Amino acid sequence: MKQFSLILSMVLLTFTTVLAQKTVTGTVTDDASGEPLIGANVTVEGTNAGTVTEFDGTYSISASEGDVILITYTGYTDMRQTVGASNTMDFKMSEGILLDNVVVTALGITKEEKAVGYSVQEVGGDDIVAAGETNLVQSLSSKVAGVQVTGSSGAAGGSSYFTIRGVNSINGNNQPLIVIDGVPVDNSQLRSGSAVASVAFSNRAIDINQDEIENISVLKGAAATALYGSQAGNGAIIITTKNGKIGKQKISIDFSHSLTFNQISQTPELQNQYAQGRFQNYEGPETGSGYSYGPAVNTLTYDPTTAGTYEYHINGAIVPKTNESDRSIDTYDQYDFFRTGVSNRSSLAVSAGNEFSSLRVSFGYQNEQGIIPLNDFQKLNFGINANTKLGEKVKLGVGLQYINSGGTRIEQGSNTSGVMLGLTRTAPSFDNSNGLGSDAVNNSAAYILPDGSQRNYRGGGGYDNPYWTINQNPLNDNVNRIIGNISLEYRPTSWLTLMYRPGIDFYSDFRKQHFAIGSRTVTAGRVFEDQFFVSRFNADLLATFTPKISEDFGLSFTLGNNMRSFSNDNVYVEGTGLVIPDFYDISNAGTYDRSVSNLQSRDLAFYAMADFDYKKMLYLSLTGRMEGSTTLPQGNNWFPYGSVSTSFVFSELLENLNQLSFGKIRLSYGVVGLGSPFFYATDDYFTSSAVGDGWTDGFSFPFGSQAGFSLGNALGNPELRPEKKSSFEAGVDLRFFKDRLSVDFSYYNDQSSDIILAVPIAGSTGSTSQVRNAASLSNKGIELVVSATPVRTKDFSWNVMMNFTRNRNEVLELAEGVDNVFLGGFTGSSAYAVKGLPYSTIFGFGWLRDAAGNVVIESDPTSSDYGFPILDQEEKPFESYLPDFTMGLGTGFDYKGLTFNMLWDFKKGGYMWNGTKSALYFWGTHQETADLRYTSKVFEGALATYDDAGAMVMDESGNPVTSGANDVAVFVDEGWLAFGNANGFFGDNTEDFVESTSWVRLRSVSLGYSFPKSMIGKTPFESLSVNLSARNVFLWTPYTGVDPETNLYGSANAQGLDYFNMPGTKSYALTLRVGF
Amino acid sequence: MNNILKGIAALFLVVFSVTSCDYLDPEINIDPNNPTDVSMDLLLPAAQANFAYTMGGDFGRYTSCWTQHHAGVERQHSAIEVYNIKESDTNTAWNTMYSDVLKELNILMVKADELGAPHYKGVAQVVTAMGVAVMVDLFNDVPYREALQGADNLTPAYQGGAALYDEVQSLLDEAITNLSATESNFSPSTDDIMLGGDLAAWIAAANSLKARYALRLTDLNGNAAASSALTHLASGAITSNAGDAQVDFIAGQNNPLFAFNDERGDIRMGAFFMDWMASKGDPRASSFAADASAGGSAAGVFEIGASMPGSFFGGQASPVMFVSYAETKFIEAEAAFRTNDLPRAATAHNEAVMAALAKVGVSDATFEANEASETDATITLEKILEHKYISMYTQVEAFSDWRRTGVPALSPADGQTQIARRFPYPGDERRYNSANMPSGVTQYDRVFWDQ
Repeated sequence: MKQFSLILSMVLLTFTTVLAQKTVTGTVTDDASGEPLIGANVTVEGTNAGTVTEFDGTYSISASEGDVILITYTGYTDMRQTVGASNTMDFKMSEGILLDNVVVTALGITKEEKAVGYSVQEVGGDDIVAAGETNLVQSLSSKVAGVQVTGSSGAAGGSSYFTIRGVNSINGNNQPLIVIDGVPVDNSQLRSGSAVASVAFSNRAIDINQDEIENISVLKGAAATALYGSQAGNGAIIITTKNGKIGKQKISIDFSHSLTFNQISQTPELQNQYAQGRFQNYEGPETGSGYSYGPAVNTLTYDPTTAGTYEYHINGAIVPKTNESDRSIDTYDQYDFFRTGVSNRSSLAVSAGNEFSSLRVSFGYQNEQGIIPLNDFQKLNFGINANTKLGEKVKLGVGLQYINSGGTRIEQGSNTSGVMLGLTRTAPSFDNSNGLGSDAVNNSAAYILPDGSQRNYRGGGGYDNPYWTINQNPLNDNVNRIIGNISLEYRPTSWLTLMYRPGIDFYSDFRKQHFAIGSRTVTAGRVFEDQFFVSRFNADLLATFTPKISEDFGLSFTLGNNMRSFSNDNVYVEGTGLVIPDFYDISNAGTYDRSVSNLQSRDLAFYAMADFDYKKMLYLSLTGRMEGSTTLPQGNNWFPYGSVSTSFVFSELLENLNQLSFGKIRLSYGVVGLGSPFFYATDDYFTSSAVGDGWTDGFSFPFGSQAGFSLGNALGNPELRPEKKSSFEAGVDLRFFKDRLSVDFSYYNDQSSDIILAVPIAGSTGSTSQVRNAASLSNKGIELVVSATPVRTKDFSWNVMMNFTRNRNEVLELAEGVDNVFLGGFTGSSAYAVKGLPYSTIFGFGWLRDAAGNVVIESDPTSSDYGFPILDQEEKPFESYLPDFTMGLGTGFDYKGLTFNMLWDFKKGGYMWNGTKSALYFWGTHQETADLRYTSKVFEGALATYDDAGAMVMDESGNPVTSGANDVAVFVDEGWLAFGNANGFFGDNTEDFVESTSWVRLRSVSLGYSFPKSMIGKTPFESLSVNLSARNVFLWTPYTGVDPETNLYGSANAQGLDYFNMPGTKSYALTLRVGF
Repeated sequence: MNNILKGIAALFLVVFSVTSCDYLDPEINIDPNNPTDVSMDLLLPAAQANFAYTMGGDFGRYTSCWTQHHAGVERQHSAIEVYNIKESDTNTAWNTMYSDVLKELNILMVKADELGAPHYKGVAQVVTAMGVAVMVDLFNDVPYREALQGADNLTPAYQGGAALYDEVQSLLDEAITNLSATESNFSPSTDDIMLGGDLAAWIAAANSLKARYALRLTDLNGNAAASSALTHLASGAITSNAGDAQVDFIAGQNNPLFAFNDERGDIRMGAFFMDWMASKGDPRASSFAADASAGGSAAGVFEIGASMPGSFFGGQASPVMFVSYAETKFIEAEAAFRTNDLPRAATAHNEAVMAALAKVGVSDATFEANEASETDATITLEKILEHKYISMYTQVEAFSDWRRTGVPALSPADGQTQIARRFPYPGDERRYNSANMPSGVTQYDRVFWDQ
């Protein structure tokens, strides 16, 4: 009988091509209970055709006789059945252990999940799109255990920074490798100008079209990434893009459009009780005063004799009230400057396939308006993925993506042209818009006075009016990028596969910015052009042997070669002193500055991998790699390393699997060698001399026509060795109740040693740093991923997902005699790597404390500081931005095609320097300065003691000896708030502005509806869904600045700094998806 | 199967041979944008320009707030104004002095020896002497002999200020010998942005400097310091304003005081200085201040309405002064006065004041009659030093003179009880050379010659 049906089906197969398609219907039920199964996947094997069962377990699908229908359903054994003459096919599925899940590992090699001896976590393309983010890196937020994402700001086109399992380098890259279809792609954040000022630049992962992502596989430890070698020392994000399918001839079209509204979220609270001035005297804009320690606004009025003629206010100059009944002056909500940014994103993809080839052409366009007026970001994506079979043995795949991205970016940060700096320092009595409200964006009367000079709250000095900044100092960038790969696979025989895959990522990034004459950053006006040409080439040649040895014992062996190169060629030309006003061409300048740099490196590697398995139960994988890098000196530039990982599926040995449906233990150990993070650091070079003093831009040689060179201040080192990162990982993967509950736990212990860094040295050596192998870092942590489907009934299902990450990072060693290394920030408040503490610890000044930890209060009645806390004169470390733990908690409901999903994000710990508030104390615009001023206060602390000579009494350990709790009441005014140590701007107070960024955040919430086939059956649509979503709409945090998911440096190692960063955003989106 | 294996082996062999030979070419790791060696004429202007920017920048700006020529009224400079100067404030200038001035001069001197170029060496020695001396004047004990050796000595020992002053004098002596050499394979010319390669002018400058550093030791050596100064002047010091050692900046490559005012604008003219000029009808007031009628900000009072610095020393192309004819004459006047040669003191004083006015290009008959017509009967040390204080506007020398002589009689800034007398050591030295750096010094401590 069996034979007969086989023959029959073969006969039928022969006639397949001539048989017409028909509609097959049927019901899918649980074999044991007879209950219908909803949402089971029904596909025609080898084609794109697919559907899911309805609420009553029924399905309907087009198929031809001879096609094989495959039914899959989580927790049940797959069922296949060939379509016969009947139009009805029912399936009775039995529960089973379904673990032929495959995961994508290094080099795109797919492996059975159970065979993998290290942690791999996958994220589906739908989840990425559902995040509603422009930047792929930001989309990964809260979704993967071990991955920490930090956005930079709410500026359109801004960057996001991410790490996997902590940081591994001091000066080098700490971010994971991103690989798209086998091509490592660039994720640099290239800067023009100062790292603490300028604009929010993109990290280049923003170019990736998220709509075209099929799947992301996150590789975390050294064993997982060993085959990528040095470039993936920080983990890897392996992206597989969508493809057409080879098989049945079929064309499908997907279209989606999203409309998103972005608004500012949390902002620093500004006061509106006190006007511009000092010591309660009003000082108007014409005085140039920067302070808001003037009189209470209800004691001031407008001078009617100057109404209409006073250029700083339409109602007239501000004067003290002469009568109680005079109208009080207006105050302004400076945040009215921001707008609701509207973003549109469209995506169209056409997939086609036949029995030899497949093709997918995709097109995406996004136009995002920022919350900052005139700030925008556009992205155009065009992609082709094509695959074809050249005979039986050869497969050829080509992928090509073109990206055009860029926009108009606005000055920010520590920058006299920065938007938040000018905005939040503006006195509440001054209207930056000059009565025009949001029309000020397009009306120069807001920011230019009739005489052509700048209208701002400091009479043209100080800071640019934000409306000036957006109109007069914009930066435009334009990126043209091509990412392409060719993959050629040759299978000469069943046990051998050869694959060659070259890929390239090339882009040009052209930037142009101008500063109009009168801009505070450069009053003479400036134009610059900054052009980057970045290229990454990567080629892998792989030979994989899979000899058949025995039923119980499997072996596969891979040999490979990897070649890659990197180059970044930059040309920067700056013209200062504009000759013709408002004409912004590089020719229109008095003096010029220029620089050119050509960075280049190459790597070459040979590697091997051997995989063994025994009875599909015990797996062992060994890798080895020999790598050479041009960044290291000859003789030290080849380095070997490798990994071993093993997986034991112990549930195979257990008989009674009623509750535990699957159990696996994994263990791995890997070592990765890394080249130098510095280019050209094996020798010392002279550079065309740059002259400056840290306060000013200075200038570069040639001085007039005289050339001049200085020895570079960073010494090279001909003795550099490769860096080394080792990582141990143990984990367990348990699934219960027929996989309805799964728990995945990992422990890891990573050590990075011989880290190459620019070791700071005393200036008296004649240099300020030397590149050396010196530092070591450790990251230890646990990751827990739990997912469950507590309810799954006919009409309703409920899913829960939780991922928990706890990483402990410690800087073990920096260099002999060096306890801390500057990463970024400002004198007095900055981010450092500090020996014995977590990376990027905030460093600065704080209060003097006695042995018991009490703040020491001045007890000398003759001192002007009597009763005030005393500042410790020595800088010290505070906290790091690295959190105690992070947790993503997601849940979703599905009721008859109506879906509801939300993702919560919990973070405990992680600190930020609120430099914005620290400075606003000085200027008197922060609400807290209004609450505190002109009040009497007894500072918490203990009184200092002095000896007869007037010296402070110290104990043996050097801590001040105190004499009981402070009881001295002091009067708090700007003498303390602005001109004392209450702030970190005039004063040196870092400590009071180091704030926790713990948060509870509703990262995303969405409500969607997929129209059932029954409703759209008569339309041309194959599928139709609408989705309403919101992101970041709820945020609880003790942080008092902008949304603490921010960083002044953007995508860089110096983290935990907020100095007039742009506010973050919350958004609301409507998405429509249509399939044809 | 064997064929297949052979094929694979061949393929890998090809890949290996093609790739490994040239792919990791060591040339790739050579910086194409920067040279590994440069000639003397490229090192000299870079060192001089960096020195000038530091003297006219941080060193001159901080000390001018304390001498009340200027007043810090805003932001960080309002802290420095009241002597709240931190280790971070001196870091950049210290590092520039060592890594972008003294280091390059050191390389230059080694090259000059190798190439037989005593003229270059002499110029480098004079500039080095000024550099070491100003470091001592501001920081007292500093590294010199063990300094500038890069990775060969990461923790250079500090030398006492007095010993370094001896080194300064011998550097200047050697410089004069080298500058007087009849043969030099290479000689500076336009690459010397201080004196245009004028060797005679350098010898004169060296003698003026020798006199300056000799007179600096008044508190230690008494009148011997003055006598010594006169001896050095007699060897042939600067004789006219044309011999002033200075760096002229260029519009667009702006003077550091201009750049600071343009980009930051946090300092104003000081009230003491402006009041003095106003009271004397000094014709330089409108050249030194942008708006002399707006006056200066009293020390520690932060009057933002006070005048900004003016065009003569605060313009785009303004010079930064190193040693001048006027200063030479003031040194002569003071030294003569101290050695009781009052006629010479009066004459030198009058010449100094006239030279200082001529430098600015102003004249005023009344002022000259009142201030530059001293006689042996009328001349006083206070007059000499007060005029020197006015004439040395923007120069670190004014701060050194005040510390040495207490003239003019400055009052501490509002709310303060004393004026700072030195810089704190920079943070980088504390962090990376703490074993050698003297600890526990404050800005109120005194350098060795200030007693």
